[in-house]
Amino acid sequence: MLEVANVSKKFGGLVAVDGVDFEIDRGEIVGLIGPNGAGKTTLFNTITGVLDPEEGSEITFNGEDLLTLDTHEIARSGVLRTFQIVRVFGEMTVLENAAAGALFGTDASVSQENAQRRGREALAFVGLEDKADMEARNLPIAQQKQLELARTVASDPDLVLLDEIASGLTPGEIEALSNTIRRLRDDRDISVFWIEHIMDAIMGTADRIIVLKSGRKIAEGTPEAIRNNEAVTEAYLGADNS
Amino acid sequence: MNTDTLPGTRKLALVAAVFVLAPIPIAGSGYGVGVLTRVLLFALFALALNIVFGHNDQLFLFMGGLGGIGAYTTALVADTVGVTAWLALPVAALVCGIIGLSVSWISARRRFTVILISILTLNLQLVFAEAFIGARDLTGGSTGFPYELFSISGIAGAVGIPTKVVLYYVILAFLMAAMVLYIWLINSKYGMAFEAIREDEAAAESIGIDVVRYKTIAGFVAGVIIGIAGTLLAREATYITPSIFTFLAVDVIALVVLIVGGIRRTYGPIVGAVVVEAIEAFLSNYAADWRAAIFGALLIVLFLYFRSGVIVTIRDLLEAYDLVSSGGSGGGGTPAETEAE
Repeated sequence: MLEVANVSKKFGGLVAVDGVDFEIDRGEIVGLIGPNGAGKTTLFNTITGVLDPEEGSEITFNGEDLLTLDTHEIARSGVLRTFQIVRVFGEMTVLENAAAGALFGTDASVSQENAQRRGREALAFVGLEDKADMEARNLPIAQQKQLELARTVASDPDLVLLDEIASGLTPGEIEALSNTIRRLRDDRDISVFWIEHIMDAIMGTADRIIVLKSGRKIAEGTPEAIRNNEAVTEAYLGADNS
Repeated sequence: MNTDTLPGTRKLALVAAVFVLAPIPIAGSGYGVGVLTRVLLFALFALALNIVFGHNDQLFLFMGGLGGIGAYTTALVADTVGVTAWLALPVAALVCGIIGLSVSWISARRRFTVILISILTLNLQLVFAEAFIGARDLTGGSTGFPYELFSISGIAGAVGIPTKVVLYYVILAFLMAAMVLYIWLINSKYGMAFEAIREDEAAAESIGIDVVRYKTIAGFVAGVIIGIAGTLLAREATYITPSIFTFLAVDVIALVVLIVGGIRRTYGPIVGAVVVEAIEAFLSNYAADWRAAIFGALLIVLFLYFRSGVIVTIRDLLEAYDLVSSGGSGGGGTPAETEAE
């Protein structure tokens, strides 16, 4: 479904992403981990068209070349994201946030009533339905992240990119979130590409994990294989020691 | 958000009724009707600014110049093609709409901040102002020419009321049409997109909103309204000169009207125009020599204590003294709460 080949991104002399290749198939939950500064969010930004990668990079989604599309067109083609630093529309209500996702996230024309209905559904999906009429900025940050997820779900995407959506959650909430993410795939047929620092959350949920370090992909495999991968352990311990 | 086809219809009808009746108590006073007409005209300018700046963060500081383009274009098209000004006006409005659209398109493509857009448009304002004076063959230079288009005196003669009063009602019709357009726009998908873009452009793009497209639409709509308002401003003056369309004569007043009335409030432009024109009229009657100085001082007070608009401040006061029940805003279809400290 999503095919990423030889993607690189430089900022001046710094190579943030360095020749990364991978694929994500329909119905997969793929984790993306790596020490701080590994280039995870930069990789997200190149996929969603926020940043233009270097010459020679290739990113296609269902056969469509994403590099020729603008950010909003990529969203409409079915690739939606959440942000590491939360970006809800603070002065709108929770429901309006979700409805906005339904209203603008597809090429089809959606009526406002229809968008509200789908917004409500998406809120129920992440468990925010009783907060529908609150102003979004009054939600705690962790719930604002859930609202971002609801906003993507409302537009009925094929693939969502989640950027550290579990940060700030209690262990109980992480369990609930992991369930929500599994239901994304099982009930909604949405594939997930998920950056996370909280290992418990991602190891128990992802089908496959990709590890980045200094912009390079150093490992890829099942959570079990990644846990036992020496290069990965070294990357994390090395990062801790520095 | 209201799901009616047009929320607040009754309120708008009430406001329209007040303005329809307003000239009656001052019948015969050409001065009074002139003040009322200016209220409508600056409400119209401020409404355009509310769309493009209030809801879209695009600070257009060439409303005077753009209004002038509208006024001169209407006159020149009517004159050279030999049609009535009623047919020339849509052409002029379209020209102004296209100018607004181009400015917004360039600014959005190049991701101009609100400061850059205001600098760009202020420069255009200066260019237009010079052009009005310089293009002597077309505009009559700084001496201008009489501007009595729209064959209103004919209607006035037939109905038996003064031309100024007929013109007042014509402008009122335009303002009410613009209000209907505004209310529809803000409660539609466009309003939702405007709000999302204003709050967070990156998030808006991430959910599929074409930021450039919506900003360009806002620029076009504002340009059309400004072009019409400029034409009517010249018609009200019955004589067109470049001095009508300066930055100080139009942009500053319209911006003050919008801020005083309340940015992003549906009735902000109208309330602001009433307040500002009332102060202006009072000062020019009783303190003509000190008019500018006192006006400036009053503005400072208004900006300090009524920053979120007189509507909000007065409602809060009434609520504080339990004179009205809280929560009954209804002032507009938008979440227009301004950041209170």
